Amino acid sequence: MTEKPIKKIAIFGGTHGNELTGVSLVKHWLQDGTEIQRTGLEVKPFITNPRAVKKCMRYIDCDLNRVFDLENLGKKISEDLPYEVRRAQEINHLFGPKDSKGSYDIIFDLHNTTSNMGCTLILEDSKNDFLIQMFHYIKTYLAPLPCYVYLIEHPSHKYATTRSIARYPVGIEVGPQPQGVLRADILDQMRKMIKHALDFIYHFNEGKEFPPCTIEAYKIMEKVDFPRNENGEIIAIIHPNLQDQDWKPLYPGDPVFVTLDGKTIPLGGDCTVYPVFVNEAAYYEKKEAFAKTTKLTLSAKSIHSSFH
Amino acid sequence: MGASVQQSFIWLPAGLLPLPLPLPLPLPPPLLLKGSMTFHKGPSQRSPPPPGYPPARQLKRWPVTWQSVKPEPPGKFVIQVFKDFQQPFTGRYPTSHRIYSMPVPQEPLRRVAVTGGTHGNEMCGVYLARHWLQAPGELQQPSFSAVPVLANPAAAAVCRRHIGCDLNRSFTKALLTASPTPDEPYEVTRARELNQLLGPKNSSQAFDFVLDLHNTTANMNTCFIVNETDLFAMHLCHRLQLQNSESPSWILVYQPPESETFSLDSVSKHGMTIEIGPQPQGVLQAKLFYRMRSLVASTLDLIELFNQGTAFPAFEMEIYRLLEYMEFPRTEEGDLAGMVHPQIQDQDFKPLQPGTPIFQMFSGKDVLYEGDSTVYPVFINEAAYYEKNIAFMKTEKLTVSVPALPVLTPSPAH
Repeated sequence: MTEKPIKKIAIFGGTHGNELTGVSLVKHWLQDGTEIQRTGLEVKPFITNPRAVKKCMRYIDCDLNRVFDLENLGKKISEDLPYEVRRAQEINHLFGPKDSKGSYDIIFDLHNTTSNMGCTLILEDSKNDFLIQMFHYIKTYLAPLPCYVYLIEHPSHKYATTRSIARYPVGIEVGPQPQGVLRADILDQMRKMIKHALDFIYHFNEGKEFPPCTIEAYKIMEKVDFPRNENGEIIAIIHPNLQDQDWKPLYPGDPVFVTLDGKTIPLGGDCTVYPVFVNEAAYYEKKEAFAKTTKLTLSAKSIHSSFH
Repeated sequence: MGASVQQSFIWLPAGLLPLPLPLPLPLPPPLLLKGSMTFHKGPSQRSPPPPGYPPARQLKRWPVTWQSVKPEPPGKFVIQVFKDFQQPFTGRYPTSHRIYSMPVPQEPLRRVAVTGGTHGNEMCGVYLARHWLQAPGELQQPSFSAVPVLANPAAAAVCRRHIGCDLNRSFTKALLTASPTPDEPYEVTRARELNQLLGPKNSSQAFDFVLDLHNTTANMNTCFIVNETDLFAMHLCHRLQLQNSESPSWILVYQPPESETFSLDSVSKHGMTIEIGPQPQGVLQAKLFYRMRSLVASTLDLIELFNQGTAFPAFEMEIYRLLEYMEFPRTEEGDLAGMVHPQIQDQDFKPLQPGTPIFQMFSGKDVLYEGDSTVYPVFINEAAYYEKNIAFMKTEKLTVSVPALPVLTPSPAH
């Protein structure tokens, strides 16, 4: 199938102000953008939540990466609105508007996690041939370094991401890295992911044909909260056997939590799941100890640019 | 140097004016041990730097603000206060042979506290303190019951290191004795409360021992932070180190000698900090949680042994003592220009030789360590130190000879 060539690309960093890899890369590229320039492409690095970046906090008032729904984007501007909602409207104005012809073609949004998720690409739509082709390309060129695809297509668990104002939203998540820390190994991995993504777009625009392909993906099924007492306090923590085991199969009966008194709580149900975001710092307040995913294969048709 | 020599080190939170303190601090009548603790260099060390040595090369931007003066009486040094409290302190202090007169316990330690959540996003201590406040049973020993304290409840409630300023730098005489003001940082108020509860600092009513629990994002495994003049704490961490020989643990002296103490565990007569990492802020990992819990239990067991009249004989051990801080490379705008080099990331307490890359710039260039001697970096890439602009801290490795503790006459349990 033919697709329009890509013209406008944005790379977002600092959507969460304490995820320092994206913050540092974007700030560096604002100073010296040589490595993200490709002939015929406009690539714009951008700090999305500068106030949170300055304070090295995830957000000021609310999570910027959850407020790009049409309701928040359409709210009347006032001082009472949370900072991130006002900022979302600015970003939507600059890079959107969401669901319009004028919006950016691709937005890469750079994130870190404290979970041991390695290089992760986040996909919002399982039918998106262009992004599946792009992810296939990135995975191929990153090998032997593993790169996982997390699919957040779900009636209730999909969330209104900052990048969703673009035609092709791409979440990039690399970990483990503590909040407020910048690790060279993690930065190197994220930098490579962006390089391969831009190379793919360049080749696509040049008219290269990408034959049909398939990729393995992990689709969200369910978020699992920590066990809590009647006051809402956490009474059990991630079991040592599950810590750092993101993407690895977790079988019914495997230990999941351990109570402060040392009692193990196993996985219930009767199906194997693949846990992700295991013990992510930012999700304690979202009541999410980890997310269960199921493994599936996504396929994409052959694509090439319509200019050739 | 004149009058400024008669000052001690105070680390004030940003935004507060420095208040110099006279030295010596008024101390309660000390219980002095006859004998001494001596420090000497390990075999791989350089000879001690002469007093008044020049600033280290890598500290050009913020000139060294520590200076040593000629020892008087022999064997003692006075450390000059550093001037700019808005900046992290940089500089070195002399490391020659030193002799202390050390207060040691002459009575059983009955008033013991275990404090967690001094930094509200260091989760091992937060969760342990909360747990023990509901179920204090495991803090009970035959001769005493340790009191659990959630040190910074407001910061713990919002999972942040602090609300207004760093609580663990707020236990200085200046802050503890200042009149409360409505707009002072929360932690300054809280430090005064804790001083009431566990101190007053430097008084005979103070608690016998405070054990303060911390986490770091650096790969420091188990690290005991002690004051080199606290002979009792030196004995405890030596024993803990021997008991946990299967996993690495280290002893760090953080406090510059003869400077004013500022940490929570300084309000009591004796104290120690346990630092466990790596663990991200805001995350609780089971393995670290259980390690911390068992270290607390072992510490309380050791205090009980001492109370019961067990002998704690003399020994020698390795300690790491803070020399100076290494700053991050920054752009003119103040943004990071590079990051901790992969070659030293996670290499806490490993020797760092001159010529080793320590930073990787975003441009791809490496920055090499230009010192003139081997040092041992610690707190490498600790999240909380970015705001202090500290990439890591250099330490030196020393061997200390620690004399025996006096043996208490066994007394019946109460």
